Amino acid sequence: MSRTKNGMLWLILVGLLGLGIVLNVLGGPKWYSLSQLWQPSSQLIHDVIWTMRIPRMLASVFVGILLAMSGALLQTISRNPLADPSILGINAGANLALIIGGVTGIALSIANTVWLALLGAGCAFLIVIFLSMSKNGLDPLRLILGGTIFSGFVSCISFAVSMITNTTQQFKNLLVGGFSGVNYQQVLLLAIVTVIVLAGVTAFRTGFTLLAMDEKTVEGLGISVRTLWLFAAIFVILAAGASVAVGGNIGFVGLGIPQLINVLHPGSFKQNIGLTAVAGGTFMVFADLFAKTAVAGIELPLAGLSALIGGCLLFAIVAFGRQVARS
Amino acid sequence: MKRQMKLYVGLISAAVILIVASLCLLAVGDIQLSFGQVFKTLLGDRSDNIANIVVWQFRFPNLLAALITGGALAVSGLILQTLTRNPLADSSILGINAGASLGAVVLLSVASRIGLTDTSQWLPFSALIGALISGCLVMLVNRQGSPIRVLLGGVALTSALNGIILMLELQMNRFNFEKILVWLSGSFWNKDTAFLLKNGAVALVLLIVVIFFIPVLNSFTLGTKMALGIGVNVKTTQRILLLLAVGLATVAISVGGAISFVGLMAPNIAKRFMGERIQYLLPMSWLLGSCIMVLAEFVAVNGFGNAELPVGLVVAVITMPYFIYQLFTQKTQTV
Amino acid sequence: MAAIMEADNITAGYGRRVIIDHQTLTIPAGKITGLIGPNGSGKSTLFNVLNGFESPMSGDIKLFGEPISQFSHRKRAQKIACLPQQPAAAAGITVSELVSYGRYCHRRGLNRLSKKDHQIIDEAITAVHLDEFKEHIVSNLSGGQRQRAFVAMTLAQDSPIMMLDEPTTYLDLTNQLDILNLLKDLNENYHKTIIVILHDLNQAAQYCDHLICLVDGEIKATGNPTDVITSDVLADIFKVRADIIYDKCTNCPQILNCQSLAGSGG
Repeated sequence: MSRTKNGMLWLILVGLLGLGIVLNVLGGPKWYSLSQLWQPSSQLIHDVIWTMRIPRMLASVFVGILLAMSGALLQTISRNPLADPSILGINAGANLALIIGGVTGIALSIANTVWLALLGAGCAFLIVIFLSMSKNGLDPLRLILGGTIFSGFVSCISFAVSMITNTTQQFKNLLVGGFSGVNYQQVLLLAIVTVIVLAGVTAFRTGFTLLAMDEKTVEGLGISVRTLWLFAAIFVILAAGASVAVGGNIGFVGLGIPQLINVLHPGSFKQNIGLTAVAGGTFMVFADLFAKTAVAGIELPLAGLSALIGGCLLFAIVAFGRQVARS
Repeated sequence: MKRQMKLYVGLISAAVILIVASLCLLAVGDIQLSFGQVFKTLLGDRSDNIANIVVWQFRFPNLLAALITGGALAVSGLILQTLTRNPLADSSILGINAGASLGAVVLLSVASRIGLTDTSQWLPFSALIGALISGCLVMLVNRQGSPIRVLLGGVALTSALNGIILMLELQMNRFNFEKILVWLSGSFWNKDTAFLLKNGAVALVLLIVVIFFIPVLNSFTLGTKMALGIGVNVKTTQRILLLLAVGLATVAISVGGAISFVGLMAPNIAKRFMGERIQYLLPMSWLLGSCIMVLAEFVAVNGFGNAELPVGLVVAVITMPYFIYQLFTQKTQTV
Repeated sequence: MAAIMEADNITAGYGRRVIIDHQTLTIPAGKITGLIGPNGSGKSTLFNVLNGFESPMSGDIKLFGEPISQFSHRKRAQKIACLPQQPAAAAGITVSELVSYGRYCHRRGLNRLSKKDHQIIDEAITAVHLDEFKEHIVSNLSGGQRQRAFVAMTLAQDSPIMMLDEPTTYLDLTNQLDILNLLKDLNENYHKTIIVILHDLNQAAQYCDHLICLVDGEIKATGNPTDVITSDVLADIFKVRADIIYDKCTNCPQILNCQSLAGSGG
């Protein structure tokens, strides 16, 4: 029964992803017909499709996958269904690093952006983890609250820095978040990170699944919690850092998608991670489509859009859900 | 009796610090004044023209704004912390600030569309409506009586509202965008004395009303069941107190923009000295909140050369270490 | 037996869920009434309706012959003092401050505590034998002392009825007996009518004058301990088979040699 349901879900999600990919490529300020894909009527359309729309579509799919997976990972290892890289200040950390980098005169080439974002994400994650450690290990509630406040704090500093140095325009660009102007190098980067994270999570999936239990029990099973933690942290930082470097601060995908999958198909980390990844890509590709086509002539800010959707979802979970945080 | 003494000493020292900080704010700046000059001018001596203008025209509005916002946010935070039985609650975390900000942003963007230039008299209303809506939403979560849920509900609400704010502000032109951004990070945007005095009067009235609820607030520190047991009409008083907290936060926000952390910090620091005795906590929180704001304003004006930073940013930066300290030293969980 | 409280045909529960279904009971004046019953039998629901925290879905509760719904919160608190399960003390307040909160229902506005208030607070603290701890911080006291401080607070309400929800839970045996003896003392010397939820049947039998036994929201047995604590009741309600002996001095029933009947389909 559950097996067929699982299969159905896979089928639906992959179908939706395919549909989203096609629509995303066709949609934009100007909609193209399907036939333009293989028979572009002009050189211009050919260029638009291959140098702008396809990389943009790919980037949104990869970022969706990465954010959803990092959210699922964080939720499992912190034993808290509300964890997410944007809530925990990891995105904000990457953001701050980019701003400081820009201000201190580091050219924001792709390579520089990546290492800056990774550095920022890593530092922020370490600080938040450090803050939320109590005597009995990680305290889920502290993690969320400390993370939220830390995140707000980091955003404040970002703004202060850009304010003092008169670079609010740059700050605005980082705030927007989105995939317009993405190129193949960035797509390649995202692809590499996605492969690494996917491979890593697949390799450690049993371990991560067990981490959902209480720490003592896991240790009792003879598993090194510390090693698992380290790898999980690396994957989360890689995923969040790369996403911010390309797409800006897009929050709440990591929160909402794993939750949604869990509602549709309750199961362990191992059973749901694949579905979560596909759903993340699907969500992002449609969100991006919505952002670029909903209001004619304007790109809606993806960061605002995702914060709005995710915030509403989270509020619904908190207000009407049965169990919020295990502690 | 010794305990009583300690409490009074605490209150008096906080008051002294506040007075000294206020004098510094009035005296220091591009034009340096001596404390003597400031004193004389404050007491109504008009002979020193420069001092007169500098103190009354330039610096007194800043001080007034800092006192209004700091005190109102601190007391609003204290009420919210007592109501939710959670030391980490305050108007910014529960999404009330975000609601008020959204109200203001909506007003400003509508105003710029229809060409309305003077928005300052409508701003408090639109902020209040936003704050009330988010306050009600948070209390919708609170009906289950779980402090964690309330906090998380606030976090969610803040995020959703900030999403809307972001979408709105990015539609604005560069000039309005920067104006909003400054407002959103907290700064005294309108230093008109009449405007400040009006808001100050509202804050004062609300504070006086709060004083009448001291015994009720005290009973809430024992939990709602116990409060019911000793004869408190929990449902009604809870609603009134929530309204008071939202009202105070709204006054502060319409004066100073979305300043966070003061409402969180001031009552917590006060608790360390006073214990959970609302009759002492209330004045102490007010004093400390005002102190934090005055000091932050001092740093914002004087700390960065010619650039005047939004005071909310300074508040965030100077209160963060305390927050970290508190997370570390918290003995019991915040649940 | 004069009734100080009467509940007539009441139905109560949470949301739409009915827990107490059309029950009638009376609380005798000047006695210690024990509410007993297995977990989840509706003791707390009944307790919260009787003390006026929640309104019943239907039926009337009368306090001193008048409907409890006509009492304001303050007036009700002047008649009934109530100690919930596991009360939490505010951080950093002293015993006498805690006890002074009990005077809330007698005060108006911001008036300072009167001389009479202070006197009553002192008496309450003396009654629970915490005189030397008067200026100590409540959260630094031991579990038993803290519970007594809360009893003193309810005592300061100066009400004829006291209701306590499992006041002995999470205390060690000495402190449990301490609290129960205190209740007995308050009943005998201060003429308080006491309603108490108790878990331990032997303690209930020993300290209460009147027992109300609840099962699945229904009052199954009520009366003297000797009438309620019988082997039939134990088998029917608590699903245990036990010997009952009667204390030589007080003639109250005590349970020995319990065996669970739950597994054997009893």
